[in-house]
Amino acid sequence: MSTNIQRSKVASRLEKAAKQAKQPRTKRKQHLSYDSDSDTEAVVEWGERVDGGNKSVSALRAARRVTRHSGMTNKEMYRSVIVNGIEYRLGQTVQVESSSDEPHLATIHRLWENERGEKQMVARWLLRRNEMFLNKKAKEIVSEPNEVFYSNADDLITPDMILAPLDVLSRTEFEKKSRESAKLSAKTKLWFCSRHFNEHTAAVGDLDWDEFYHGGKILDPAVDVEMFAKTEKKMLGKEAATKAGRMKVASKRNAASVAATKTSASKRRRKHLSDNEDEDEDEDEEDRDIDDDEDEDFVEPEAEKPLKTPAKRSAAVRSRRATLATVSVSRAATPSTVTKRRKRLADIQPAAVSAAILKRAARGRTSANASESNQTIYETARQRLHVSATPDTLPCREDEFAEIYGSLYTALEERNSMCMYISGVPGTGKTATVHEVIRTLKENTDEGELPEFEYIELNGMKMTEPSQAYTQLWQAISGEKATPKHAAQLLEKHFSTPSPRRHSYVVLMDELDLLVTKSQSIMYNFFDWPHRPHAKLVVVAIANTMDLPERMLHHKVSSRLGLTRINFQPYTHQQLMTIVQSRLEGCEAFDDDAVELCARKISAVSGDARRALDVCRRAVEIVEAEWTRRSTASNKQSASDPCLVTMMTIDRAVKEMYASGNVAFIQNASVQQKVFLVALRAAIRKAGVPEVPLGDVAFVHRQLCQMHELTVPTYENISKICSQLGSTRCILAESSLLDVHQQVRLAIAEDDITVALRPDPLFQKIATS
Amino acid sequence: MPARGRASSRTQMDVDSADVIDTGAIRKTILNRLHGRTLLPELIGLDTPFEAVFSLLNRTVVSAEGNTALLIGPRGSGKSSIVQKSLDVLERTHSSSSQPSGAPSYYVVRLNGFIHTNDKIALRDIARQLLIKQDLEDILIGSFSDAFTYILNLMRTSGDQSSMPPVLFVLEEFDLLAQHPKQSLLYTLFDIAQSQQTPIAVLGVTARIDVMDLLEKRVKSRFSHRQIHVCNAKTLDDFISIARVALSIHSSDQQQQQQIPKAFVDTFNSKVEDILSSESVLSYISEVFDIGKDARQILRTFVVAVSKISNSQPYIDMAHVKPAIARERESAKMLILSSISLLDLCLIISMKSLVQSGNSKYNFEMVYNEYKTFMSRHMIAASGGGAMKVYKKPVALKAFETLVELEIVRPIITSAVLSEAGSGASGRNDLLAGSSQGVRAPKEYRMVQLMLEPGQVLDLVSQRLDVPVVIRRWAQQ
Repeated sequence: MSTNIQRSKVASRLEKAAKQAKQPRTKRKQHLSYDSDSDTEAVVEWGERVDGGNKSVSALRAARRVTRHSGMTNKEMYRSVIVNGIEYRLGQTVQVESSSDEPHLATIHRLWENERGEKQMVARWLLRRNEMFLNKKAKEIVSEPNEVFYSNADDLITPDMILAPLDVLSRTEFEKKSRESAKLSAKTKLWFCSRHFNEHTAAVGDLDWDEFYHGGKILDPAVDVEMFAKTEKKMLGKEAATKAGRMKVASKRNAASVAATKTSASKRRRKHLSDNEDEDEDEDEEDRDIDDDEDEDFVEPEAEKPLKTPAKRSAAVRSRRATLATVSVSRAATPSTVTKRRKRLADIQPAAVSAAILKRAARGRTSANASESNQTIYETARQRLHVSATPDTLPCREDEFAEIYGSLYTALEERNSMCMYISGVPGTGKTATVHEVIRTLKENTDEGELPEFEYIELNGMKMTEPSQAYTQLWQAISGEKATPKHAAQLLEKHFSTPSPRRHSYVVLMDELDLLVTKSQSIMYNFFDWPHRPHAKLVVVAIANTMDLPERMLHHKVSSRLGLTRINFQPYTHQQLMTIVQSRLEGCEAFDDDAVELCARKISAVSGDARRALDVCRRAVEIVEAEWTRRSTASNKQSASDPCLVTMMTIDRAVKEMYASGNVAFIQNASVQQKVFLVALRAAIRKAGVPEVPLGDVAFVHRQLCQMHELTVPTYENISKICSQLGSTRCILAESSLLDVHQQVRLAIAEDDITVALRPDPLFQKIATS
Repeated sequence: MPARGRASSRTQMDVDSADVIDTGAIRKTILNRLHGRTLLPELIGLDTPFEAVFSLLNRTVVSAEGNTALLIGPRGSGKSSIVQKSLDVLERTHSSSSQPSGAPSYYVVRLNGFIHTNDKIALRDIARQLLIKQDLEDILIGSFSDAFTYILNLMRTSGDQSSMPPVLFVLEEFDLLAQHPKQSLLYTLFDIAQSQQTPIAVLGVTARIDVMDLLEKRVKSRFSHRQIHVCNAKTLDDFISIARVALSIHSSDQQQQQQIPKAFVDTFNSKVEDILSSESVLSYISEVFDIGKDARQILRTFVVAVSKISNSQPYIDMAHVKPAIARERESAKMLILSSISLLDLCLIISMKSLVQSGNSKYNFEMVYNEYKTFMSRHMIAASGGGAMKVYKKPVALKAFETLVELEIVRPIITSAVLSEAGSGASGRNDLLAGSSQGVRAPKEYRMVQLMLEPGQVLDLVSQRLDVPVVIRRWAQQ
């Protein structure tokens, strides 16, 4: 494993897996041994082979192309493996290497060699209490120090990670033994197991270990399938239905291939095997249809692509099948399946999402109404219009919410990894939407629908340097501090080692464009980790440029970023109106036309919701000031009829915010400053270049003054005027060290000067002369 | 003190009051105002922006609302005064309502773009200004980002335990703060202001009217776009009253321990009024008003006169004001040039004629050549009158070097070279020492520029009475 960590990041996982196994590419089937180069490496040899398949394995391998539904693979399954001279058999409990001092505990679930000759195994974890995936329900579970839980959490590892055999006892046996030899149990830890833990539902059920595990192995795999099926039944309403529906589609594979262990059958499918056996017949006909379709459409290019982990692969299959099922739903046979399917169809995403939206919307409304008190309408309006008063649900972002929520929900549910890229100009609700999604997902976990996940927010703007991202992420994951370099190594190790103690992580990378470095290694890593088989990492990247991946990123980075991209369009004026109105609900401070005017004005400029809210808030302030002035003037009378925000007010507020201030500045400048600007404009026009030396301007300036009988300023005063104007950036001037030779240019539009000076009769005269 | 008081009582008209008046205190109060150390007792013509700033800050303190705004106005227009006065008024209104624990009901953090040249320094100062009572060592030892997060967390989490008092950020020279890389300071501040975490008000103060263009788009989006424009005094009357307010004694100036007699105050103020309405002062003020409306310049002019206030002379004296005005009007360059030799003047004139014949740069050889041509022409014309002597080249070079030393003549420098040389003294005048542009030519051949306009040369010649007519005519060509 240690060598693995130091491997260059560019090495594909494929290569990595090959090296882990330290196996030369060879087609010999039996008793392959390592050409081991060091003593520290574990020596792994195969033990007994499973000859269960009805076709010769070598024939299969020659064919290479195996359709998935046939239930055959060109893997070779084994019953036992010999590591460092100790033979481990299927179902045996073992200790597995971990990143901490404490080894993980597991049972050997499956052993095989893939077509590349890499030895692989699936470990089924025995979870300690602190390794268990904690959601609300699981937190209530109490356990004794030496208790482990038999779980249905599987991970693909390599046999060389097995450290030693392990004895797990039943509770009675354990109590007996520990009573006998108190010292012994203190030294070499003994473990007992009397319960199982269903990772998906976080449900715990009883398990008779003695019966289940006998003679160093699990006796009957069917028992464990049934066991988890039982706990799975407790799953909550529609979610369970959805799963059941999806599983049904996969059922025909189970029916066909009774030896489910041969393939990387998901737990769900196994659950289905027992749970829905009665329905299998009903579905057979339809399943066959699907099969036919699939045979035409999807001939698996490589049956056991080593790139895909079993979990991923089955997920992919499942989703594919789900789409097929959608097509063929009309052909459904029995009423029971029809309803179930329909439910699932409606459910798959939009329904769940829209339910969530409805729920949030309702809550948002109630909370808005609750804030009513003895404030004036202006205070209420101001408060509600403040940008910080983000509602629980963002209006006009339902589609984006649904999309993000849907993707994240699926990823978390399947404990998968993914990347997502969100773009949009500032103020279009990107971050707020993601926050809302996370909130909703957190609620789902609280309700037990989803496994627990951890949410980490990184903001490029809030880091001093991009590499800080490593430190922050590592700190969020482990709680430890590390230098960026070290943190990167630790993270690399963390995400490439399997571990039962693994939360799903959702990482939000806000202001992504600031994390772009020269080598782009940070982004490369962050987008590469989700592609590791054990990462369980969801990365959501936010930036305000749509084409950032194409424009700024290397291809290797943007390729890893994937295709899940969501663009937040700037708000249209209707949307802005909805946003403002939804905030003002029940608060009568605004004229309807006023809101519309504001929405139209802002959408014409930027479509930035923050701007619209700021304009409205400013408008409320203006009206409020007017109202207080009036009410103090005419005492209490006007308290009863407050003035509304009208189109005029909005117009004023918009002008205040967007007025450049140039015109006002020039109008308020001193006479000589105005003359200087006119002189500069004249000098520029005369020279025909945008920059002129101060001396020329001074010459024109003095001429103008003489012509119009103003006091002629000295050169000193002219250069003073120049530096005064320069400090306000009305003009751009070079360093005043250059004195009369400094180059001067206008920093404001010539038109601004014309407009500003038009009302002044003196400058009217100067301009025409 | 009593001795001097008695002495002055003999000389002064209002004999009774003068001997108890502490003129030193009055002088100090007024000087502080003139130097800008203390605020003017009232702000002239700045009520609207003051109201806007005050209500903004007040809303943050009272209703814990996050606010951001920019205060934009030319230098000397009273931006800082507005901010200071707003904070003073806030302090007065909220000092009574401060929490029983002794904690202030709000904090003020001041940052200045000139002082806090990077985010790190700014952050340390924020920490210092916010957590005066806390031990800073452990924060400051850690890396910058640690401190940053620490303070952010501190600002955020303390809101949960006990409601965090609002923080008012005043960012002076905002444009310089906006030039920090990434603008992460501004981003963070604006982001907090528009989220519910901690109620903060961010008030940027700047003289640049294009400051909005400096903000990055995501920073801009988080800024509320509230711009408060401050204008210079609109009318001459306003401008004069600024001076009047600064120079007069106000009721608020009364010292606790010593009352200034009303009679004295009245006389003092009427004297100020006299001075301000006198012809020469008025014309000076209107001149300044026309040029740049620079109130500071007016106040500066009165510094000498006010500092002369003593017991023997308890009022501002016109006799001290007039020379100060004359000094302000004087041009330093002309002052220097008024005493140069005739040869220097001739060289200047020849440079001017070189400029007029279309040379933008020239070296000593060219200048001397021009000088010699003129002189020889003149010699022929005057035919041995011998009134004027043609100086030899080494002598002329010496005179030329004097001009270079006075920085009337400078080697060609561009702003690029200037900034490279650190815009400091090192790159200033290298004709003699070596060269700023790596030109290794002998000094007679190094290209130079005259730092005077042709008009200024004319002024110079006409100022001097000892210039021969020929040369005067030459200058006027």
